[in-house]
Amino acid sequence: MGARIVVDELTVRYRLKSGDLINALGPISLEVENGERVALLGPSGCGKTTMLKVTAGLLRPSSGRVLMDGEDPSLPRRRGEIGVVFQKPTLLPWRSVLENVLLPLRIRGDVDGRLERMAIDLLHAIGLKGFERSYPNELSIGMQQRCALARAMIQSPKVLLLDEPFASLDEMNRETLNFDLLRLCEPNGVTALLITHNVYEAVLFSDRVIVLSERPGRKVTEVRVDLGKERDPRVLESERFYEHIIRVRKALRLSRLEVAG
Amino acid sequence: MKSAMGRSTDRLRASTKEWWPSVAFLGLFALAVEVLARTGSVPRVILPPVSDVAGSISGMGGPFFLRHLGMTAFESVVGFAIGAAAGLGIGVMMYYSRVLERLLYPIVVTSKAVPVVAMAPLLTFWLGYDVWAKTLMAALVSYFPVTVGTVSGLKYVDEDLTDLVRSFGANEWVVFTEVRLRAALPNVFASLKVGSVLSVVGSVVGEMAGSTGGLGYLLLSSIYYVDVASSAAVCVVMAGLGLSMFASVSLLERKIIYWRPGADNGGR
Ligand SMILES: Nc1ncnc2c1ncn2[C@@H]1O[C@H](COP(=O)(O)OP(=O)(O)OP(=O)(O)O)[C@@H](O)[C@H]1O
Ligand SMILES: [Mg+2]
Repeated sequence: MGARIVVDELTVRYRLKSGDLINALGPISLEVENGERVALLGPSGCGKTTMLKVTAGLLRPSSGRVLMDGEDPSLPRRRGEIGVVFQKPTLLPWRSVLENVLLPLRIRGDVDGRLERMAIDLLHAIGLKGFERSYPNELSIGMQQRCALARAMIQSPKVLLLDEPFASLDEMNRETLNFDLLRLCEPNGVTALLITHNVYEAVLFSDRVIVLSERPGRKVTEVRVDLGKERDPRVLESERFYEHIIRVRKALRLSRLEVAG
Repeated sequence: MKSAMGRSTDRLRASTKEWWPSVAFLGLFALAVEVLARTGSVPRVILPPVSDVAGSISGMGGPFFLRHLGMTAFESVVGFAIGAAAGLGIGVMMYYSRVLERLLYPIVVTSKAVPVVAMAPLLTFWLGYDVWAKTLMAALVSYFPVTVGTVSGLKYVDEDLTDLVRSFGANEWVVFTEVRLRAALPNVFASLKVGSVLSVVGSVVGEMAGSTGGLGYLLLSSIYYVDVASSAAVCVVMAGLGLSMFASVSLLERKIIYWRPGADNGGR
């Protein structure tokens, strides 16, 4: 079960210390269907994180709006229906790995043995078996990001927002985590938005890749990905996968030309 | 898995390694003073040999002395507790309210700009010669660093952490208790350590402005009788009091900020 996300003529401006306003994002409009997985691909500083924060109901738009099943995102956020993984692993250093995963549940109410069991299973599924009682600073960055992902999934969110979650990881780690992520997403039919710089990651994860322009980020073009919902490592060895890669690369190149011209 | 015992001897060994240069330096200094005084190069009334100072410290076990030590310790500890609580409270208020910040900030800074030494006679005049004027002195000197440390600790919290907890539907109270307060703790403790040592300064200055007892009073009276060895001994005891307050705060810090990397191995 997911939710339908509508981004409608959204813009965000920040006020800088100097007092100047900076256009960080948009105007941008897009729709993500219930259960769809969308990758956002765009140059650094184009407003991807900004858009994610608005979508998570953590930042007010300057104009336009984001709706989640017709509601302002702050409502589903308060109901715990949005899972977020930030660009860097944001674990609370004073909580153990298990307690970090349980945190969303603790904030929203009591945690019983069943939920704790669920968290432990989730940690095992994502390769953190034996680290339940460790503290974040005893983990590598990759392991911390795994923990953050488990935490985003613990409430079985309707919407999963991922901000370059694996950007700081090496290629190997990244690949396993991408498949772990897919495995976690599939059974739930969660609506997911993945921000990334990486074309392979974008194609592997999504049903649709949306290409953004330079700041202030606008939607330039999109590429549908027809690789089916279920994807295993063999996808990476298929020609169809690389056809998609090429299509996205072309779209990226054309988008740059378009912006320059 | 190391036993707790093994770990604490390790820690002892590590801190011995860390401290021996300063211990050796102090030892040499004491030896020099001892030699200068014993050979009569400097008159004993002016520079007492370290052994005399040590003798007068060991003679301090009596109830007479303990009363004075107890008084200063009481003023410092209670004053520090009041100062720390006030500093924390004012810091949190200043962080959360622009209006209160504008109102309190000038007052806080001005209160700090009045030299403590100048406040001592006034407070004694108002509150009398017993412990309360000195307790207030200790509170007044220790609240300032705690206020500053609390505000800056609360300010420089990683906003991604607060955003994250909000994304789980937490209200601002939970954001405060779960994230902001804890993330501020390292800064708060740094300021508490400064405050704990300063509180002894506050109470001693208060005692020297007029008192019926306390280490400051003892110091003044030994100087009055030109008993330099005893004065020096009192100074050493004051330092010991300040250090033990510092050490207690550090111990508390280790317990409370248990998640700090290397909290159990000296960060090495
Ligand atoms: N808090 C802020 N105050 C002022 N300007 C900001 C703030 N956050 C972001 N910006 C500006 O908004 C623009 C978009 O920032 P954002 O973090 O959304 O980019 P991004 O696409 O996520 O970049 P990256 O890929 O490097 O993470 C940037 O140019 C940045 O200068
Ligand atoms: Mg970003």
